[in-house]
Amino acid sequence: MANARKKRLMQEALDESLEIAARQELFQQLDRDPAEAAEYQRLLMVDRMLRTAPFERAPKTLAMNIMARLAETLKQPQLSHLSGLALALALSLVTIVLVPLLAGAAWLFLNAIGSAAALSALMHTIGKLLALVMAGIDTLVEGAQVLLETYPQTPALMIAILPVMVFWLVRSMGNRPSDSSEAS
Amino acid sequence: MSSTDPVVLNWVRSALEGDQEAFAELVYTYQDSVYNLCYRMLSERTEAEDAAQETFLKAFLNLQRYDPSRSFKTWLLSIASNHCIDRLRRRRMVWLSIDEPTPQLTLASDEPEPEETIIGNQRSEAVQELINSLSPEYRAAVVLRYWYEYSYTEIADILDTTESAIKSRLFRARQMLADRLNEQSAPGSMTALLENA
Repeated sequence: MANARKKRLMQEALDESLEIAARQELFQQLDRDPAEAAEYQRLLMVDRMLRTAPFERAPKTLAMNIMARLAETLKQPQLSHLSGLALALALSLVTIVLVPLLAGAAWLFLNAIGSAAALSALMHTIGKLLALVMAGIDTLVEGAQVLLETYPQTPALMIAILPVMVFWLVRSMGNRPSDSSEAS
Repeated sequence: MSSTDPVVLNWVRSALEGDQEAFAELVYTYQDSVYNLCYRMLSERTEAEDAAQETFLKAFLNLQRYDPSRSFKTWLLSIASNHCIDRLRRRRMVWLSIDEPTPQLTLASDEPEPEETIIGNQRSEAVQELINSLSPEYRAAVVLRYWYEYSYTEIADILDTTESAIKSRLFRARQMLADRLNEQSAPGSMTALLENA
C-alpha cells in the first residue's frame, strides 16, 4: 500500500469515516504488516485519549473580569476620539485662515511678476506675512496647549459649539437671497 | 457550518448598538468554550484566563466584522486560536529553553478534593503535557478537532488554511503524540494513567 494511501486510510479510520470496503483493505494490510499494525494501534490510543480528555471550565470570575476590562477599555477610546476631533477642528481652522492668504499672495505674485522691483517688494512682503502667520500659529498652538492642560473639557466644549456656529452660518447665508429678493 | 441561534444573533445586534448587558450574555454563553481552548493551547491557567479576556475584548471591538451567516462560536474560537498562536510564538522567542516544563499555576484550596476530581485533574494535565510537545499550529488543529469536534473544513476556515493542510497537520500531530506517549510508557507513568482512565 502506498504511503499516502495508507496515511489517508488510517486517518479516515480514526475519524470513523472509512467505508466498509476500504476498512477491510486497511485491516488486511495491517494483518500482513505488524509494524504498521503497531503504528495504527498507537494512533488509535492517542485518538482515544484525546476523545476522552476533559473539558476545562472557565473560572467563576472570568465573565466579571471580562466585563470590567471591557468597561475600562471603552473609556480610553472616548478620550482619544475627543482629542482626534479637536485636532481635526484645529486643522480645519488653520486651513480656513491660510487659504485666503495664499490666494491673495498668488494673485499679487501674478500681477507683480512683470516688474522686478515690485516682485522683490512682494517677496519681501510675503516673507514678512508668512513669518507673521507662523508666529500667529505658534502662539495659537501654545495657547491651545495651555488651555487644554488647564481645561481638559475644552475640546468637548468646542465640539458642542461647532454645530451652533455652523447652524448660524447656514442660517445667515440662507437669509441673504431672501433679503435681496425683498429689496427687489 | 452551523448557523447561529437567533437569540445569540439578537445579543450580537444589541451588543453592536453598545448594549453591554447583551455582550455579557455572550460572554456567559461562550466563556467555557473560549477558556478551554486557551487553556489547551497555552497550558497555563492564569495566561489562559488573560487570553480568554483578550479574546472577548477583541470580539467586542470587532463585532461589526462578524458575518451573521457564520456560527458566532466558530468566529469567537477563530479569534481565540489565532490569539493563542501569536502568544505561543512570542513566548517561544522569550523562553531560553523550550524543554523546561511549564509551571502549572493552580489556586490552592484548603478543602479536600474528591478522588474523582483529583483523577480528572491528573488526566487533564497528563493530556496537556502531551499536547505541549506540539507546535502552535498543530496544537490548534488538535484542540479544535478533539474538544470542539469541528470538521476539517471548519478547522481550515478557523485557522485560515487549506483542508489538506489540516489533514496533514492532524495526522502528523497524532504520530508525534503517539511517539511521545511511547517515550513515556514506563510503568506508573502518564500512559498508565491515561489507559486506566
